[in-house]
Amino acid sequence: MEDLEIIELFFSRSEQAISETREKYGPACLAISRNILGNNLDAEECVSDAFLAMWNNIPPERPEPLRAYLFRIVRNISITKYHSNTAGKRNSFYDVALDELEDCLAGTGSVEQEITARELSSLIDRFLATLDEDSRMLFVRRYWYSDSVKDLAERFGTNPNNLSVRLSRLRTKLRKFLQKEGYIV
Amino acid sequence: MKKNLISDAIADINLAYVEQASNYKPVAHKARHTRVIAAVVTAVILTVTAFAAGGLLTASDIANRAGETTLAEYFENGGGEAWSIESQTSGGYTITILGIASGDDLSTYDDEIGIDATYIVGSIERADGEAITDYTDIMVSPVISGYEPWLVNIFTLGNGSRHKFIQDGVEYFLVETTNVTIFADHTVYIAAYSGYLAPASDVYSLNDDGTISIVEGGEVVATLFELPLDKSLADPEAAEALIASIR
Repeated sequence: MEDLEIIELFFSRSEQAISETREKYGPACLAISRNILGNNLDAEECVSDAFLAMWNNIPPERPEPLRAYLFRIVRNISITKYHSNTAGKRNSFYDVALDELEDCLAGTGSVEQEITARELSSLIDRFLATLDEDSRMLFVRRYWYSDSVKDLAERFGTNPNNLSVRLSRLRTKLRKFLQKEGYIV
Repeated sequence: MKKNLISDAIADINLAYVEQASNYKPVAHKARHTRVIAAVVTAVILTVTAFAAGGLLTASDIANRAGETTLAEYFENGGGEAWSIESQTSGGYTITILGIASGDDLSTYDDEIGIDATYIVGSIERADGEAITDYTDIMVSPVISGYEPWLVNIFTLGNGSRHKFIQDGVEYFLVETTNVTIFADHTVYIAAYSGYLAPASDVYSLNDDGTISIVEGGEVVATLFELPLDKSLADPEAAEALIASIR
């Protein structure tokens, strides 16, 4: 079913909206959540919560693109669940990927400028716009989708070692970009 | 920079990128095909210093297409000038090595880059001038004097990868391998040959004096380019350790 038709089902308050969304995007949502949480049980719970959130948000929202909108809800719910899992594993793909960025963006001294998450997000968008398409997609798949290096290597048709090197270079570029903008010392 | 800040920021990046990435697969891909090239070997070495109008892509173009933007910038800014672009024809194909860069060159160019790799950029054309429409099975590998090519090559040196694409009837490649400048006190060659396996001993031979040459009378694509390396970059200890790990 097309996304526009699914949205119309939400607007007409038909529960078929949820089943259609689950059928079309359920597996991908599970994959995103599993990358963050590291287990299927929690991931399924978060995906279900995400569908409920969509039911509550649409209408009045009319998201476009629907897929990315849903994925963002899933991701946010999963990260909230991740932080509340005190007994849970702290070595999910999400955590590893975040560690990479944190290590890369660590300042050597006091922060040159204070920055909000929104400002940093905008800077990252500008940074991504400077990259070629493959590099941009690689960054997003690693740090937004939290794909493992192994899965990324397969997707990008290379070996994990080579892929790791490419990611390292991207992080270095990001760091230099933020240094130029004055956000890292 | 705090983890929570980074996490929150990443969460809110442009959804258009998220959407595009949801099903993204790079267009160019590594070739997996089974066609075997069989032809009489005729190695002719030509040195060209400029491209004719409407000719081959530059090393920078190829690197850009492969997503290697630092490498592309390096070539764009005159990097790799020590390499005199060279073509050889064998088995019905003309192979041109358009650029070479090593981690040493790149780290000189950009302090942040310290990659232990050598990059080889080039093209493959049909010698009869017809367009290439499907990927060839031509492999590109460094081989080192003093060592059997079947033993020391891109498969065993480590960190090997290859990016290929076809444009306007020409196949282009960017090959990455372990930084071979550590072997600069040897003769380092680039072998381009047909087949997916390591350079075979019936195609390349290790001579008594340690040099490597193409076996006469073969019926496959086989070319051999010699790299002009700065001998001061040699690292015999690292080279020995690498060879020991291979044997």
